[in-house]
Amino acid sequence: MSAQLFNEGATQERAENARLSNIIGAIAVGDLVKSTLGPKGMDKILQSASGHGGGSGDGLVVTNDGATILKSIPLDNAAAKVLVNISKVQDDEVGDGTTSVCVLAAEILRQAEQLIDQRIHPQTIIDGFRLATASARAALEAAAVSHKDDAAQWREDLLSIARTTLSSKVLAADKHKFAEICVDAVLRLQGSTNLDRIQIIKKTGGKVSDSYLSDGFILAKKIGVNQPRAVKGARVLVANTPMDTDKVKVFGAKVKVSDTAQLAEIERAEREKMRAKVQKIAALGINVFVNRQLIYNWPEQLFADAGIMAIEHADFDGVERLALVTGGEIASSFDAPDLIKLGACESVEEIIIGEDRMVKFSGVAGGQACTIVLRGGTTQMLDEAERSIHDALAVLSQAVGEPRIVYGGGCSEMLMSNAVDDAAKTVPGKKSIAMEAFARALRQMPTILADNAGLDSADLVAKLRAAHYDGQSTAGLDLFAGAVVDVAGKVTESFKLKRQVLLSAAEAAEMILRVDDIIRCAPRQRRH
Amino acid sequence: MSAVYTTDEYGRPFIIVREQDKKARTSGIEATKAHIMAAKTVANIVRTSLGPRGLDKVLISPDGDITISNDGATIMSQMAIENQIGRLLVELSKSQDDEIGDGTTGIVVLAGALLEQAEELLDRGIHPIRISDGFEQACKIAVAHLDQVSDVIPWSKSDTGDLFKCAKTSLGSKIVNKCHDQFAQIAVDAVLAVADLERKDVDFELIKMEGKVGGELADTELVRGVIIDKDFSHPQMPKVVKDARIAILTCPFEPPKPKTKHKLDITSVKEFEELQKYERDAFEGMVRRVKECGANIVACQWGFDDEANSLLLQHRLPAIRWVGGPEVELLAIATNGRIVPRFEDLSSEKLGRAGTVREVAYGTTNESMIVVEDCANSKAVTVFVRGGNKMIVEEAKRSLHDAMCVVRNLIVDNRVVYGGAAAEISCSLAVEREADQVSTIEQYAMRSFARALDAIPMALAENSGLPPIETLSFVKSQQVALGVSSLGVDCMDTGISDMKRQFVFDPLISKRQQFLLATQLVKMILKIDDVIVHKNDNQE
Repeated sequence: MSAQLFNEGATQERAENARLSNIIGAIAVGDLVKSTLGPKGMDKILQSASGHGGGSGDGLVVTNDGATILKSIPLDNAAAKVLVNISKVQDDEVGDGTTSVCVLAAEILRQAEQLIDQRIHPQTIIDGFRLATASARAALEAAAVSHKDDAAQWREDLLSIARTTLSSKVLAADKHKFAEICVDAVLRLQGSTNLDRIQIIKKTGGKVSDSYLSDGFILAKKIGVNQPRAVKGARVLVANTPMDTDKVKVFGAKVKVSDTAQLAEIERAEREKMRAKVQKIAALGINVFVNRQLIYNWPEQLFADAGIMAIEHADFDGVERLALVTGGEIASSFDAPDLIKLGACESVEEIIIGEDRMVKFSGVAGGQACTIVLRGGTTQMLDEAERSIHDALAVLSQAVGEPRIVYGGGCSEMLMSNAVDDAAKTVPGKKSIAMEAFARALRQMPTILADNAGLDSADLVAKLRAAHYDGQSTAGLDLFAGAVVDVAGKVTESFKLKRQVLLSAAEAAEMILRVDDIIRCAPRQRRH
Repeated sequence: MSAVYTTDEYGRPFIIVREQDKKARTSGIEATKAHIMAAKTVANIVRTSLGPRGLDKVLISPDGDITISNDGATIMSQMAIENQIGRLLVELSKSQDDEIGDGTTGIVVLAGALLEQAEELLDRGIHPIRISDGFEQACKIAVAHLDQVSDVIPWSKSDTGDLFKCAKTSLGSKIVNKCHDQFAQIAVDAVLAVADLERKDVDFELIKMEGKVGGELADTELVRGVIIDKDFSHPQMPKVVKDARIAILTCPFEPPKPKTKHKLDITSVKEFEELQKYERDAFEGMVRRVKECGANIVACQWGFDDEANSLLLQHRLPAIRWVGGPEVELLAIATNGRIVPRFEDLSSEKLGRAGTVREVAYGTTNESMIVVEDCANSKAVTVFVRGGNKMIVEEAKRSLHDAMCVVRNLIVDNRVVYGGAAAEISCSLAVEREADQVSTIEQYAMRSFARALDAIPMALAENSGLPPIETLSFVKSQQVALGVSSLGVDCMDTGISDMKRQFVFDPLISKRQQFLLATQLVKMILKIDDVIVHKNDNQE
């Protein structure tokens, strides 16, 4: 008997029940996304109940991306939420591998469940898992290679990483093309990981293979009325300044007039002020003016008179990217012309993509930002393509900072699994059982890859394992041919990605294993 | 239910408790027992978290947010307990947390065990007050004994080995024991960096903990400086400033805004133009003042106007806006700068100094933080916690806080007792010995107190997968036979039960506080013999 402790509606699960509910929750999440893994993985349709929600097409999302899938499902299980969180972190940290990290964590827990059934203390299992993680990590680090010094090989590596990431996505058919696009885009960032600088413009129509990386920069805005449609040898001022009415910012200031004549005068003064501003801007010797904020008709007309191309409402991102591309600085005050750094580019012109008119800046000096134009049949298709590109870009931008690579196709997992198995043999006590279980969990990754491709996973994984024990440390699965091959140079993955998958999954599994009690407070009453 | 009304001499009833049907009442032994039951239930929940092999709890808040924790105080406070006695225990664990910072699980387990023992005594017909008197006496003996068995650990700024070991004991039960040494070292270094050794005081305000998901626990580091979770106000400002001179401002880069209510009327074009001029001059004046005093970076608690922002960029003054209040203070302390409330007050000696200020970007989501390093004053540090998911980062922060508290307690008072329940077992023996010399029935209560102390080693052994009764009797007999008070439960199965050799230390004041607070609470609960609860109206 126990006393009534909690509010009504609160529940408590203890010991075995808590552990079971956690492990089952985690495995359920793992199983949910498992089938999307690998080049032959399948996609999921997510339809929100309200009919609108994420994505641009009626709440309907078709995706292969683990983080997107998990984000969209409302889950009520504590362990499941932990997995969703690691998947999200993986997305933020490296951009891809969001499915792998969940699946690996779930597989580790699946193995742990059996150990708990054998009455092994969770803390002992955790100790074993820690040793296993350490040796897996060491093996991964030993296997990682970097080709950063060799420019051609380095580019080939990046292309290969991009291809691996893209191969499981909707863009798989054109992965060579998109890999080129992504690598070129990322290399333009010159080491920055700020992906906001790569703009992705989606336009329905055409086919996916019509997509391209623009050699210049495209701004999805229109040029003002009566202004030049094309400018050669552009001198660009990127600004963030009010061009509607220049408000008086002194607090409490208020215009108070006694008659209409005065009102007219004030109005004139206001206009004069705006004219002075435009003149100041024009005096900088520019011929293209891009503003983050609105430009009213009156200044727009003034700009037109001065023969300046003015683009209004270019958003924060747009302005920032443009500043980077043209090498100018974002200015908000124009009194000191010598302190304003103007941007430059060879030509600015209006172009038409699909049915929309946009402004293209070509021949840019800075070039630290770029635009990818995506074409495709449906909005869902475009959204998924954008997600895939984003994943690839994220992985590549991280790979630029951490150039080491490892091999995919189950190769690294098998390598780690064998290393853990070997290490387990030297550990006395129950911990070694936990380590062996960890190795089994790692081997599940190539197994799932093979299963998803409809191959005989048991046979293939056994062959792969044998190959590794035979010293072929770069052996992996070719899921198209259904055979064990040497994957070096074929299926490449970023070392950082693989390491993060291993560490996050192990940390999450450990965290979930340590729990022996779940206390759920009474849900907050919603007011209807 | 017992009668709550009575009749006067004419047989008319009069009411003692008004609206009795809306109230629930328990009284007498029944009430005390109900309380004990509630307290035991609570203690049983956290009992399994005790010790290096204790397990964690998942707490799901009313909004569905998840906390995973091993920290007694955190678990207790998030459980949303409704029972009154349960709430007292929550308070108990909280006061241990506020006062000592560690041992928040142990104290609840001890209080639960004491009440369990009290129940048996009540069954034997001993009056609750006699029980609490006995507990009081026993507690005095136990605390005095703690002083006796305590050891002084020597430490100095250069020799922190023992502090490190204590921090390790505190961290042993948490998930961060994955990087045990590293976290213990961070806790020791952080506390020593800000400690005022003269006054034996540690200001925790100077230690900031910043968490960011990503990477793993082992990437956690101690930054000797300040981390501000902001970025430079203009995307094109330089990302690194060497040899920084920081102007720390609490006034916005906006035209002055008098506090008194005022109204400024523009009635003519001339006034309008003058005002424009004034506005422009005000901005330029601000930037000029900052520039003139020699600052090369500006940290401001408020926002900037776009125009001011652009001016700052043009004058090559990197700036950080919307820096939070605590961060501003920390920044001022760390860099030996002064917080300047008005632009007029800026002068070169009020600037803060730091070796480098740089913006660091994380991951793929364009998040960045500003790191201020090599500050003029080293007495402000930031622990930057990384981890694979949100819950683990939060838990790591809590664990580090506990460990820092332990280190602080040792700086205040460097006496330690031995962990692994060695101190409890030794006290239990001492109380038992003394009990035999007491002639009144308090004797029974004192023996019960001793048995309650045994609950801690039992729980430790149980959580570690050892046979509890066997382990306890073995350790007890060894303590008596060898006369060594530092023998305890060997949770980690190392084969050594001498906690002195295993380096499992707990600060003396933490243990003492546990005993005193738990006893006090138990006395209080035993004294209650009547509870009247106003039932909530059911209409809601």
